[in-house]
Amino acid sequence: MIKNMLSQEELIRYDRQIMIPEIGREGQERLKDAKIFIAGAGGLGSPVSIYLAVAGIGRIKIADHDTIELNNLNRQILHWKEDLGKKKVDSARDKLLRLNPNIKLEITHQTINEKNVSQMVDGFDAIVDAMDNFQTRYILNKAAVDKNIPFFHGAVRGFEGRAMTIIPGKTACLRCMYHGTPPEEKSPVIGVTPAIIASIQATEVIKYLIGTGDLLADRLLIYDGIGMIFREFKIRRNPECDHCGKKK
Amino acid sequence: MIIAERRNDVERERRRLLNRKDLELSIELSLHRTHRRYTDGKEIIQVDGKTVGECLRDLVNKYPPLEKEIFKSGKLNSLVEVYLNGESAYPNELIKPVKDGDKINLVYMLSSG
Repeated sequence: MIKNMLSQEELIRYDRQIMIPEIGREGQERLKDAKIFIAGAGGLGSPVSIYLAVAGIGRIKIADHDTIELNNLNRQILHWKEDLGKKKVDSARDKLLRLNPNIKLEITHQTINEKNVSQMVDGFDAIVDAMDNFQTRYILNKAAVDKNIPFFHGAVRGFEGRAMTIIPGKTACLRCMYHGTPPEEKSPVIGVTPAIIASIQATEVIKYLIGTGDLLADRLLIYDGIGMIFREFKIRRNPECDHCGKKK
Repeated sequence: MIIAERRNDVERERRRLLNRKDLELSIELSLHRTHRRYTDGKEIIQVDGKTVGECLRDLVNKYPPLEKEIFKSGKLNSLVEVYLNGESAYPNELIKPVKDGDKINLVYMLSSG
């Protein structure tokens, strides 16, 4: 049952995507009805929140604990020179509401950890992984599995990135395929790489919400920008997985 | 008579090809870009072995500097992902059996965002 009817302004604003047969007016209402949690307002978080906001996701919550530094600006396109020193979530809220005042936006300036994650993501329809480290990704993955919330994974380095969609209880989760925890480092990256991966993540979220197409479920997509190659690998659920092995 | 000579030619060619080492079937291993600096930029390396582990040992025998990238304390580096014929080989990657013509992809884990 769709609760949020579209206003006249929204019908015009989203006209070009409502024209897409897979979206239509009903799909647009589903997007307006949706609540999405975005973990991170950096390289991936900037484009993914921009595209979900302008697509008309009704409610977006962004969590990030960082402030803006000059060396963020090559890729974190929500943040500009005038924002240096501000909290990323404040800058994100300011820009996103200017891009689309019709959405509801919540922010939280916190580090996601094992204690607060459950309450932070409670009630959301999807979690977007826009993190910069695997410790927090695993915390989010576990919370997503435990609370049955689809989890949209993305990661980047240099000209390379990857994306996968996790539907708890149905598809492989992050721990079915990863076991390592790369050391936290100042990692090389150019802005076009998170732009591509975040666009794929946002596409997956939109498709999931409107219930169309084939998701990157059990499919790890790896993008190699230097070779301009997309590779896809099959990932199977691991019955011994410490996060989802017992999940039905 | 002509047909018999042709048969002999074909047989000689078959034997010649069978004796060529470089035409032996083996496992094709595709290296991640970060590891290609140890192989003069080569992405595809032909390796031999009956398991993923034996193939990786063959790889590091051919390119010894790769050893420290692929193995940690004799085990597979947990930041290296192994895909066998397009599927994740995790867990217990090293004992997964392989056969001639199989393809292994080695991928390095990414963490930034």
